[in-house]
Amino acid sequence: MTWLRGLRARLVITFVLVGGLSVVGAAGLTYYKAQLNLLTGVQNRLLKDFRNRVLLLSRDVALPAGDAELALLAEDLEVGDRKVYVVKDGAIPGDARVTAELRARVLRRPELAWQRVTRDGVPYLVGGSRVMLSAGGTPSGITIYLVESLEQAASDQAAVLSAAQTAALPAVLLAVLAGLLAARGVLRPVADLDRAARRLGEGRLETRLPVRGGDELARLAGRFNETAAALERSVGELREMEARSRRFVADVSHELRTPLAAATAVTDVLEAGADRLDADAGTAARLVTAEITRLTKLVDDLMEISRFDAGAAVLNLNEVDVGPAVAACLRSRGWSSDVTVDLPPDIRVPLDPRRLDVIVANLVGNALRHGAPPVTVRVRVTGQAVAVEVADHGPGLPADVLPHVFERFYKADAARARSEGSGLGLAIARENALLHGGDLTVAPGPGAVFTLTLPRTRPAGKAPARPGRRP
Amino acid sequence: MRTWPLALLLAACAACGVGPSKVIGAGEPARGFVLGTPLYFVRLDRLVSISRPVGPLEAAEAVELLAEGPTSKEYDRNFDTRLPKNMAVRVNDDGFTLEKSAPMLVNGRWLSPVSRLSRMATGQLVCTIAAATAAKRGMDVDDVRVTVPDKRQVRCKDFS
Repeated sequence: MTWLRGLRARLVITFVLVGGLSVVGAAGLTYYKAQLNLLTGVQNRLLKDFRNRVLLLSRDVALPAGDAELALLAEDLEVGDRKVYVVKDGAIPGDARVTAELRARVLRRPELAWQRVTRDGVPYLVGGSRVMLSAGGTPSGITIYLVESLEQAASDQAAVLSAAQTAALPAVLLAVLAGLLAARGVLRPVADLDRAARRLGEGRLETRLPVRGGDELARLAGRFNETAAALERSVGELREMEARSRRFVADVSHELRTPLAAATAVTDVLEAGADRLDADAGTAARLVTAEITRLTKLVDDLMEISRFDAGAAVLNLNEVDVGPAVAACLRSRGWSSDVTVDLPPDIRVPLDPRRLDVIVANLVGNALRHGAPPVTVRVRVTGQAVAVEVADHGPGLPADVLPHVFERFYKADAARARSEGSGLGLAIARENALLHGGDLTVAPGPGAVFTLTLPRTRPAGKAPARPGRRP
Repeated sequence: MRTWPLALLLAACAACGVGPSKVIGAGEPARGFVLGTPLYFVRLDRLVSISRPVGPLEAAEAVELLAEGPTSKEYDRNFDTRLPKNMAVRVNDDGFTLEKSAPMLVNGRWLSPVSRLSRMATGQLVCTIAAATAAKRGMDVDDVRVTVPDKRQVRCKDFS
């Protein structure tokens, strides 16, 4: 029944209701009036005729009259189907159509009275009157009844009714047509608006509507256009600002690299000679070296993430066997002995080995640093994807932290403000996963379980410029 | 809002057709008839009254009309009279007597009036007089006593 709530159905129903009711009302009124007029006219004519004929024909009948005279008069008064009974006051004519009700009324009041009765489905007009003497107006002691069929009038009425019905059908059809036309007129702009709103929602902020006419819908379209333009302007400004800030970060990182390289060279020399310095100076030299190393890593990470933001990250896809690649990553960092692995051979996936190395190194490094052993790495094939699962058996991550772990510089432990990492590791890992057309998710296990999923088939076409970037 | 179109439709349907009605007055009663004078003639050997659209007349005048016999129209309806043409009737307050006076000219012949009337003829006279008297005094015809020539008092119904 949902279509009933549609504008089209409602408009058509309204039109049909209004049209139908008008027609039925008009036809009903016409019919009612016609019935009244027809029937009243026929009845009045019959009664008047009856009165005239009684006056005319009974003029020759002198009172007191015998039954024979009265019967003769009745016979004279009967024309067509009309049945007439001329009886003495109070006598009962042998006709069931002359009701006791009518007879009582006729006797009670000196006037012509009538009643409509139905016998065997045929309507009859039954009239009756005590006859007053034409001279003097005193009662003559004679009552005359007439019984006349109204079948003709009834059939005339039926004709009027059927005419009204005949008129009603085309009128209702016209109402349906008018309703559909009106619905179309209203619905086309509404459909346009619906389409435009959907396009706007999809991010095509340049969407505009043609403004036709000057009605409410046209005004709505105009308002929509204004809103879309304002939205486009604000979003453009926001994007501009964001791009500027990203460029600034990239520029800053880049600008820091040169002095950092120099500083690194100096600290290398310092560290090499640290043993020869006195205790305080040696400690200071080692501290500076460590901080410079951290700063270098931070700047590298910043530059990496800037590349992602700028859409400049390049994916060098190779068919790689995931198991050995993960094993090589662990081996190169000397973690092979600390990690339990489950690496089935011969799972070949198109991926960028350097980026897989970055992801796995980050996940395993985090697990070793923040989680508790045993740390396990499993590679599984799940349908169209390959999952690399890194799990530890530490306390895991609190539920309120889980949604935020991939955010930049997000620290799960607020107290541990200065950690060994840059705070960008997981963000970079996720950007790398997204660049592959895969994903990186976290779930609570015994500890924390990070799952990297990579599609087994090459991502269709060019990898999106900014994966994971929401419009 | 949903009910009134339904009510209208029902009302429209209820008005369909020509239905029975109660008794309704249509003003003015029918008028007609004239007060007449009933005369008694014979039809199929029975006394039958027929009113003439004149009067109401006195008994004597009614008897005069009766003596003239039925009109041709009445005759066509088999009304007949048993009264002899050569009849001289005197109507008094309570009856009638036959006169034995001068001869009467009937159909070009001179006849002496009859001295006796048949039973039917007597009935015609008695009933006509009784009816005229009854109309005048507001009585029933059968309650009126009429004195016939042999001094008896009879009523109209004695002859039916």
